[in-house]
Amino acid sequence: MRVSLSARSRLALLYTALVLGTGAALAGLTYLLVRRSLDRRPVMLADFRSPEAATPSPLNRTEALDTIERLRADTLTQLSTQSLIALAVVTTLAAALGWLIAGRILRPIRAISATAQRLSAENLSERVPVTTPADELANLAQTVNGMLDRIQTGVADRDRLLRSQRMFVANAAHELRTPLTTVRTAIDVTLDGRPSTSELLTMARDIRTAVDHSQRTLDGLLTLARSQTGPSRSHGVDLADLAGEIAASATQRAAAQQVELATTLLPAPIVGDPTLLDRMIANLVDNAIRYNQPGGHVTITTDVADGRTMLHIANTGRPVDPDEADRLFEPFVRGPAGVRGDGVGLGLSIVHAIASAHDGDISCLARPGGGLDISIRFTKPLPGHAGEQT
Amino acid sequence: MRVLLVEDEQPLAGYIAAGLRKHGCAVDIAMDGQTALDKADITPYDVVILDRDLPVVHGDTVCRKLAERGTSRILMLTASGAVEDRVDGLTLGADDYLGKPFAFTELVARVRAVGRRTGPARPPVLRGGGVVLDPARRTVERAGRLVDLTPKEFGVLEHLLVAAGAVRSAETLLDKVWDEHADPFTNAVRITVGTLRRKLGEPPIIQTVTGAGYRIEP
Repeated sequence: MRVSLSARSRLALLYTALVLGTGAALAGLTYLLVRRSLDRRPVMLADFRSPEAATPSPLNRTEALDTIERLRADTLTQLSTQSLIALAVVTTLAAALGWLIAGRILRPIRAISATAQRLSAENLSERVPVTTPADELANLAQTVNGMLDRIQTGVADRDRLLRSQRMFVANAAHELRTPLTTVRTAIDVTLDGRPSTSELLTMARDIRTAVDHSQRTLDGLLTLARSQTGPSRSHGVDLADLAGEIAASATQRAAAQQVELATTLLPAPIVGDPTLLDRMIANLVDNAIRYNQPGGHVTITTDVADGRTMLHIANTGRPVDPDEADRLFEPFVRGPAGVRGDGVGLGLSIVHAIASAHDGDISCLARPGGGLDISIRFTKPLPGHAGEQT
Repeated sequence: MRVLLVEDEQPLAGYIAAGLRKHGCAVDIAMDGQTALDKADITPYDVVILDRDLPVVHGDTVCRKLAERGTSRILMLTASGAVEDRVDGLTLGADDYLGKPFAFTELVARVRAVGRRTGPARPPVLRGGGVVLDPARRTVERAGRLVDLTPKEFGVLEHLLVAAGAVRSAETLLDKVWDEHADPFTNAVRITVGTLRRKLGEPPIIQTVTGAGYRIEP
């Protein structure tokens, strides 16, 4: 069975073992040296033991040799006993000191692990104390703190994303359930009793409207999801060409609403997905005409400014709050009741998703006289530059 | 029963109102939160059916204000049917909660259940003067014989039976059984009571209390 020891015990043990080893070597060496010097030294012995003898009397040779031998053995035995005692004392002292020192060295690490244990997903604000000498442990503390910073930012990002996703799902559910409720209630109420033909026809018409609305919402959600994944194929496109075609096809609708459509289309090359970019411009133009007023106008401009391709669409219309202008790109946000028409509230979210997928920045300003001023600036390299790179 | 329906989806509001009228409720419609509060100021509705996502004033605010007044029972109606939303709705003071889409019969049953809570507890089936009225099945029986009534006649009879012998004025009946489009100077109540008496047959159970209104001896 393996005995698992704490780092502190292991450090203390290692320290003690080192002291014990060195001490033992020292004692052994001393013993050998002493024994050798005792062997070599000539010994003159006299007997001081008989008190009556005024002068020491030399011993006879055999007795003297015996005594010398005994004395040497005594000295060596004494030396080894005392060495062992000293070694034991030193080792015990070393063990105690080692335990204390190991604890002191490991204290910052204990602080780090205690902090890490206190931290949870809800509370990531605490940080590890950084010790004053800029040693390896201070470095470790700083590294851990840096990692905690990154985790905290990551968790905050994730939470924000989750919140917006939950919001989106709730909105999508709401948008899909409302027409479904209309359909269900229309059928339940109309078939409760004996409906006349005209009642049945009205019900069928209302159901068709609700189904159409659901279908538009679903289409919008799918387009939005597709736009968020980004371009599936990318090549050089000129926004001026796309905008020109869209403006041409929208002229009739604009005229029907008495809205004047003006274009200033300078070359605006970009690398991107033509289908998505076409959808983006079409949605913007569609909104600009839909939320306009009779006698109003829409201007579409494409250009390259400061090396960035840009698209600018301005329209007249009802006054918009600056707050509202910011929120218009969120899913299912529509104008107030009465002006929302038959939109499903996803058009500008799709615009936002497509622009983001093409590295475009959107700015949306409420015009002082009413209406909106939307510009999108793209940071992607122009096709010419991209051509040179590849 | 007088019901205020607050719902901003035009066709849906029309169908719910039509369905509830078939079941003998007098229904007014408000398309936004502010209109709902204004209407509830004027008429003491028995039940307010409240959509949560309303323009102008949000449904939550309307719910809180109506609950503070305490005159009407509130049935919340919403497309976000998550548990938290239901808990939120009930916490705001709603008496009941129904998620969209719903079966219309369930809505009617809940409106009736919530409406019963106005005033003292009342039985699901009403009896009085030998007449048995079942609001859920919308049937009226007199001495074992089924009586076919229009929604208005049914509403008047239901109200008089709920009063359990107390007098109900023509104005109260007009308030509770007819919606806001009723002409306050109409003699609709008198005419409806007349046809109701004829349909219920002999012996007459609805008494006219001169200068006060009508009552049914329990």
